Amino acid sequence: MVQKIQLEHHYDYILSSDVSEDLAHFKTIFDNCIDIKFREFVIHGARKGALVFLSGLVNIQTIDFEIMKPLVESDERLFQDSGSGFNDDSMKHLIENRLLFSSQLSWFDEFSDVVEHILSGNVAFLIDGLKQVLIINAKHWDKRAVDEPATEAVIRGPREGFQETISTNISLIRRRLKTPQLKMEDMIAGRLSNTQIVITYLDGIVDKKLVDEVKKRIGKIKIDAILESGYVEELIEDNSFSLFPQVLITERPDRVVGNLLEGKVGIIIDNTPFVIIVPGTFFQLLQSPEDYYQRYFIASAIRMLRFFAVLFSLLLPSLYIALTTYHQEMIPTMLLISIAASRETVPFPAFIEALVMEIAFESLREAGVRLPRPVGQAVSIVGGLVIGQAAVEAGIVSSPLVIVVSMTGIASFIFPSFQLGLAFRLLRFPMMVAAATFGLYGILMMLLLLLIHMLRLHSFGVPYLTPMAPLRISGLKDVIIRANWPKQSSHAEELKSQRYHNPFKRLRQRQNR
Amino acid sequence: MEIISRHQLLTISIIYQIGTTIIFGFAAGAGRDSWLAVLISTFFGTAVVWIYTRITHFNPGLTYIECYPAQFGKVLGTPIAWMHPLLFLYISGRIVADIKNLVPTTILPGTPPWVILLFFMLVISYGLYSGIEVMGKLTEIILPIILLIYLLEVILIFSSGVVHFDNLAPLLDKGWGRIWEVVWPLGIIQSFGESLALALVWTSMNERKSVGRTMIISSLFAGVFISFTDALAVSVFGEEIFKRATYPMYALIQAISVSDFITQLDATGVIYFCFMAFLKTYIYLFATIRSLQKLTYSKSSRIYIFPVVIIALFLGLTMAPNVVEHIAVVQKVIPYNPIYLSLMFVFPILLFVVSWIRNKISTATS
Amino acid sequence: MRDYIWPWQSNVMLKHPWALPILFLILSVILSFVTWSRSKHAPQGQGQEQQQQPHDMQQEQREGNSQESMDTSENEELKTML
Repeated sequence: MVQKIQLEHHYDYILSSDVSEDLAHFKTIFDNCIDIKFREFVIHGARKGALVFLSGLVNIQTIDFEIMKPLVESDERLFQDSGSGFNDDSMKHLIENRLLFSSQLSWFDEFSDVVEHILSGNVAFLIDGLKQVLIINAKHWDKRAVDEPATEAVIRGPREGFQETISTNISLIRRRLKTPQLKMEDMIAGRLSNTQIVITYLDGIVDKKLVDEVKKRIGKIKIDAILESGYVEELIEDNSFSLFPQVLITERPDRVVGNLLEGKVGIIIDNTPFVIIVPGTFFQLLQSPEDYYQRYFIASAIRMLRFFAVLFSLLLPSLYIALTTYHQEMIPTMLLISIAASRETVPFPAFIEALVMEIAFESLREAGVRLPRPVGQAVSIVGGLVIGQAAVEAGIVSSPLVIVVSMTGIASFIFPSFQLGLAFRLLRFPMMVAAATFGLYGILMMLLLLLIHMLRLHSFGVPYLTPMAPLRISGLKDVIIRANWPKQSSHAEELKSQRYHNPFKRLRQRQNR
Repeated sequence: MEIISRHQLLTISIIYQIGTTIIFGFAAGAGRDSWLAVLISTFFGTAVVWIYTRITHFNPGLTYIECYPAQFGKVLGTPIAWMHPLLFLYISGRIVADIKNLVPTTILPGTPPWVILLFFMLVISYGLYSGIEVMGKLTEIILPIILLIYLLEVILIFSSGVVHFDNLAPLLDKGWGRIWEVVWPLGIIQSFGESLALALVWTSMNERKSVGRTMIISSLFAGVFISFTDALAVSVFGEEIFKRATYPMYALIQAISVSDFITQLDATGVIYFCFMAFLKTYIYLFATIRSLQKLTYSKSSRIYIFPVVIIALFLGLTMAPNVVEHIAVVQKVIPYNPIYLSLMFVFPILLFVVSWIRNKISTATS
Repeated sequence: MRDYIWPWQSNVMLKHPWALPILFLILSVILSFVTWSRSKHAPQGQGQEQQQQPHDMQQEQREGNSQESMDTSENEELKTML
């Protein structure tokens, strides 16, 4: 772990107007960094200058043709004007306007800023006689093509997903909201990684207090490096110990834009395609953007199916265990006979059976993630079918249980948010234990425990189970079914009225209509 | 301090007042006229509940417990106030004993009762720790589910073909005597006098003025609900069985048998009951810890959660060795017990009168 | 005699129904002394139930506003290059 003292030591350097001195400082800092390049030059035999850049992050063409070429081919007379009377401003003016071809330039006089810009992929231009350093944007590196998001595929809808480069991600959002109201503010977090974080929101719809709260929480992050949005998520969440995610994570720009229109705030983090949206409530995590692209009835039906899937993925194995162990009389007689017949050969009680199958299923699923794509599909299918069938024939598990476990697995794939799916997958196990020890009573108590826990959660001031918990009938329209476009309530206004102490505000835009 | 909305208070009190009558039946002693007895009890009970709400209205800002020392003076009022948490603790012990007698005998025969109750108390502690606001939201979500399940149950009962409405007639052939026997005092104590515990929740509500109206709506609704269930039970079983059954409503669920497919749904009835009992116990224990907090001027009620829960568990475990004695206490002892009568009727009426007079004087002089 | 220790039990309540009320009376008088001794901890005004609002967010945001303006001034220079 790098100690703080070592890091800040470098930044004691001060820029001077002597290029050789500055270059010596840079070379000391970037000692043993072979990818930092220094290009020293002399302009028309009179002035010394140098370029410092990171070769992997800059566009060599830009340096060659837009910086070095005009410098070398420049008119001699430019630099001989009034000799000693050449002050800083006229020099700067000369360089910016008559020499370089770049579209983004900026002058900096802090050593640490220059270092950070070099590390971000910009070119530092030092010139003798000038204390300040010019930073030229020449960023270029290999990046992934904009492709369909791996974790959130839809049937109907755009197939663009976020990338690891933050400028690409921002442009993907910009294209969908061509309004100056879309604001992007940036922050830096992570002591060693200096990761750029961009906060985006729609001015006029979002609640300003929410934006301030987000900025405050991100500002409080004290960590060495931010490698993925998961770090940020954990550090800004209300309750990071809970199983339930309190923010929304997505790879799709259309989903981000949809949420921005509802008055939420998006947090884009460099080097990861996953964007965080706050605040996230439970029912939002169950929504898929495809709901809005499909037809009204179909979308509503699918939404209701999703609700049942939630219940199934949590309760089905537990109900099976509870009913077969404690309450056999509740099962209709014919079904009971067939279940009993198939369980005849099984040596284990229902709980152990179910536990073994569930663990096997989870292991298969986890293994399927690591395998390369073509192989992974085959193995999952083969694993599921063959192992299940073989287990039944060997008499280790009973076939009704295989059906139960596979239905549970299918139900857990329906979650649009894989984080929430993970939470419910995990919750199945304590539920099974409770069912095995206390039957239906155990299931009831566990459900109550779970509900109480979910009701305690807040996400940036909004209760987690809104709009069901503080019951807002107008909000329910969008939860159970998907309301028709004309009938949808204004989400932004609703989100505001859901926060504790925020009075209902009329938006300027809407009044204009 | 947590805040609950009017709707949340409504759902809490509906579930609370329907409460354990789901299994035990209400006014069973009146036989086939029990539904009428229930309606009459509702009428008087709602008036009693209204008196409780008026007391808190006349003493703005104070919880019900604090009204006693405030109006009767510290020397007389404080002991009376202290009797309330003790009473609430005792009643919650009774409910715990109810579960102890019901669950092991019906759905979990092999499990030792103390484990069942321990789990129960654990969930209650978590609820107490989370505060009344969370409970309000919980009941908001679950009340529609409960009503839906009840509707389903009624439909299933009707489809089982066991309902015989002629069991309800002839009406009042045994006279009004046994109706009055049941209405006073047991009928009014049972769901309405017990709403006293809800009084400690009222100060958490955000709109003080609608407490009275909300409670009246809830009491009337609960009363009609119970009356309907009673009528249904009598029409299925007939008078004699209804009077003698230990768990009349539970027997109702046992009677469901639709085309030989949906039968023996006893466990659902027990689960239904467990949830009602959960909420009732929660409200009693919440009332207890809040009274304790107020009476000892503590900053937060959380430190009392652990001891109160342990005491309630202990009371419940040791209270009744079998269900017959337990129910005998309800029918024979409680109606004449001076604690119930004084705390639920005598003292509130006195308090009401005193608060009203003082309120009149202060508004007249100001 | 031993019954009097367990006055809440159903058998005791059936045989000596007055045992529980007496217990309550004794306990409440004893506990009133507790209240009396803790009365110095009493809050100033008793009618404080209704005024509390979830005030943490408001306070936090007032503090957060002043801090946030400091942060943005530091970040201004670094913001430019994309």
